[in-house]
Amino acid sequence: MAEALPYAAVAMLVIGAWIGGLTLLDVFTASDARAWRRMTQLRGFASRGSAFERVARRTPLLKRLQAELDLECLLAQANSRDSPTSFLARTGAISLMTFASLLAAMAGGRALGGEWPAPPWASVVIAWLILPVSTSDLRRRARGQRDASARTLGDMLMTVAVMTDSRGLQVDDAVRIMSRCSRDDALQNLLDRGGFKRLAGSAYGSTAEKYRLIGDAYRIHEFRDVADATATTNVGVPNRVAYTRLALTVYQERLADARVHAARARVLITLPIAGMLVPLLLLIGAPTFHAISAGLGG
Amino acid sequence: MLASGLPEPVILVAGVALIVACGCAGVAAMIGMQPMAMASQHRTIPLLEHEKDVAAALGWPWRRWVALRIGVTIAGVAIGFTTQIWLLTLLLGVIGFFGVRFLVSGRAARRRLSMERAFLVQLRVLRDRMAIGNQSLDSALQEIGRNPGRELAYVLEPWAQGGSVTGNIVRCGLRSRSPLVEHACAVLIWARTRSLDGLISAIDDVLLPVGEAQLQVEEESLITLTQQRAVTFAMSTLMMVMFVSLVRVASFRAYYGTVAGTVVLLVAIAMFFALIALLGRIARTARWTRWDLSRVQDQELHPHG
Repeated sequence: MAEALPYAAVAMLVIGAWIGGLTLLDVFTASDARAWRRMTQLRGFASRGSAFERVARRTPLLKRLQAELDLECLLAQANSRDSPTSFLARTGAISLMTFASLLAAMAGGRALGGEWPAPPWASVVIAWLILPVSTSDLRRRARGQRDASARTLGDMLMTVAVMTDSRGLQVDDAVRIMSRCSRDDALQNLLDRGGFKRLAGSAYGSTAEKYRLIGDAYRIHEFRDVADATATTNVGVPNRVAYTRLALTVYQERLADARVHAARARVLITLPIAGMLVPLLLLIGAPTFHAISAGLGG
Repeated sequence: MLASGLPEPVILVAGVALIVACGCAGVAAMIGMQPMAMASQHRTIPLLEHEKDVAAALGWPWRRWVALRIGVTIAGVAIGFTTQIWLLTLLLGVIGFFGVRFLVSGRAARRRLSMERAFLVQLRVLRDRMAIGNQSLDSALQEIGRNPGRELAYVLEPWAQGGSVTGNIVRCGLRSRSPLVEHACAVLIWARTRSLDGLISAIDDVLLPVGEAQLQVEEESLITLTQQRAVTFAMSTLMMVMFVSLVRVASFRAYYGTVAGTVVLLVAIAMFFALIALLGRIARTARWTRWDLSRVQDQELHPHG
């Protein structure tokens, strides 16, 4: 009887996953309700979410983990399609698979060689490490996308000045058009493809308000700067003057950053130079040590 | 046979972990699906584009650049083969492949900067031809295209040809493979259709001052890059001299032919490259947005399309 318990537990888990899958796929939901839900998502309104998502949102452990990691914000900034729950589920799946594979490999080694090739707890440690590594990777992606969006927006201001002034385009249209022309699609995903709705929502009355919301939600100060410049054009400052001044400010800021970076690099560069001693000593020391130890042994 | 030797708890724990993992993966796949298509589209291969940028900055045709890289790699492998240390053969091959780019990247950056500086000068000439010489945009572009100067001979060649002005500006930007020139070309494309006065004031008020500011940032980046390269060269030379001196001694050469010596050599090489990578991170230069000028041309024709 006791031997059958693990199999029963596994069978219950599999059945649970199957039922969960059917519920998530909305097999039992009416097609018109599904269509309305889809339209709600497309328009960026907050939706009720599936039963599984609601349960996941209420689970204290998951709630705390998501709050600690600020996953919703990071995933939106990284322009990921994942929801926090799916990200955690995926990371958990990878961790567990790694754990199972490592444990199986170690057990295989033990079966062949008679002893564990590595301590079994190493598989738990390695699997556990996947969670911080994936979170750090997400942070890196979020930072990369944020930087790319900021860079593209800062670089397009000269063109925006001309497009709004000579061609009479609205600033939002000009920014969206130029985001499509960039070889890097971070800003296009954020603005033109509507990615900003995930964090900034759709409750804005003007372009300046929209850009302030995006700037605050995604922590891209260039959006706030453009919003301020747009506000000044509303009180009579010509578009060309406002956006050209902003472009100049952006490049002055970059120049200052580059100078600070260069000054810091002059000091920090001594670290790798000093570090070069280690491989050099290794190259000389290893054969010498080998010769001495061989002489003493002989 | 193997299964009989496996401890039962291990099979149980690993099996349960695997099944739960599959469940989690299924859940992740199902929850992760969203109707909004936001997947990132990689329009180009960045590494290949970077190689093309270096070749263009050196003023070399792409094929010649590829041939040089392959040639130097083969030469490195051949030299390594003569030493009869297999690791050195591999290492020299890798150095031959990546080292060429590193070797010429400083010259490429300097050439690009001088080309960009010359481009700004030609923009000022273009402005003067239209404002003072009362020339139309296409005739001014043609005149400049006929006498572009040494740095811009290849880049401004399309301007000398007739046909579509926008097309010629796009071709010029594509040939330059420089963020600054591409950006200026994008501004010219958007500014040229309104009126000649509008274009002149766009060059005066927007292109030239912002272009100068961009050049200053690039100059600062070049200083950092030069510093980084000088240190890297010094470190590489030191390492090379030390290693060559060592392998000239018979006992040391014999040691580096053994397995233990190979491991030590591998560790030393790994540390060396890690230090070079650290140096690259410390002295990182500013990055620029690259513009797809063909797309700019399309958007200019159909801005709301």
